[in-house]
Amino acid sequence: MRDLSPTTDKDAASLAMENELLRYETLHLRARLAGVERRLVAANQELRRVSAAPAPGRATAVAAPGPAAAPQVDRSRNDLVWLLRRLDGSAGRWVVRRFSGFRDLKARYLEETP
Amino acid sequence: MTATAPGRETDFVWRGRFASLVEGYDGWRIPRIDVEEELDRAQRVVVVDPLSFPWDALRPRHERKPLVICIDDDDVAEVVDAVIGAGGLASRITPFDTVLRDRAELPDALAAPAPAPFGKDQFLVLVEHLATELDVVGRTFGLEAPLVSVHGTSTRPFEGWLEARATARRAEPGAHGCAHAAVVLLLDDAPTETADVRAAIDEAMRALTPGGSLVVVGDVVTAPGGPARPWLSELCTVVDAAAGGAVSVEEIRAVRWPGEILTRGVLLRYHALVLSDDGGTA
Repeated sequence: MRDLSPTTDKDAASLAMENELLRYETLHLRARLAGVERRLVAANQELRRVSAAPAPGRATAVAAPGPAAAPQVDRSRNDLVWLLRRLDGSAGRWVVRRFSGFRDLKARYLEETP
Repeated sequence: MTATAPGRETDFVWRGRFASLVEGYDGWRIPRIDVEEELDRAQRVVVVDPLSFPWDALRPRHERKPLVICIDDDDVAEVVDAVIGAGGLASRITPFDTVLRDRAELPDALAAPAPAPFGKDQFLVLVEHLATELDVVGRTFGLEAPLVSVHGTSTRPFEGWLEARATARRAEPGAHGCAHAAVVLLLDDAPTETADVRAAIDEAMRALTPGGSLVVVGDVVTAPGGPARPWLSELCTVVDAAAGGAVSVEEIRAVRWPGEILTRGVLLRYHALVLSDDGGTA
């Protein structure tokens, strides 16, 4: 295989000139990329600001839970159903059934849940 | 179809209607793929009969080969333009090609030496880069065709390339002072000292107006044992000093010339800043 390492001063000088050329070009491209990234960040911030601002003349609606909150809601519902069944099957069921709040929760969750 | 006489053995010669002089010629039976193969092997393309030449076989990879074409009639030129399509024949003719208006001049044209040392392939690469930069200049300033003046070279023939390859209008010599114009400086092929570079840049700066663009193209990496070239840092320093610091760098692009192993060029595009009344720049 041919030896690619510089063997003369002229080779080294040529490589140094090429190195400087590529270094300048790289620095220029990095600066340009940084400028594009700064404009992108500014554009995203402006987009979020415009999206968050309420539309004029329209009442602010209560935000519904997003898709990210759905697993937590399901888990809380299952815990509540489990707790109601435990209370309704316990020895003190005759006492708690006297409370209207327990009867409402039992009607709302146990009778709707299969 | 191909013949060695009267050109060199490396020529591809298409005689077409004028093939009766070549024994055994039957051009119409030769499949198109053979033409492409012949063009691949050739170093120069000679079209004696442009009307019958299969122009669609002339692929972009063949454009780097010098072209010699005989057009002895304006009507023939119109037909060829219609066959070639966008740009017509002018889009394929460079200063490294030869257009003959008289077929009798063909032997002399083929016997002439090739227009080296700056080859057609390198010329096309340079024109492609310059066309890109001039397109950016035009879009930046909302111009369909920026006014361009070319400076600094005596060995690279650029007559006519603006109209053929770039969307730009060539400024008449001395007709400077147009804002948003572009000045192209082509540093010489010959061994260049820093003082020569400074003189060439000073000349180009005189044609540059505030708000305009300066494009500098030159070799900044020399092959081992090759001629002396200015370093890129020296070139940038000279341009900055000539402009008094009133320029901003818009583009730095390394350019590799076809066929050159280590020689590299650089394309620099500057924007000439406009000095405001309070001494700032815009």
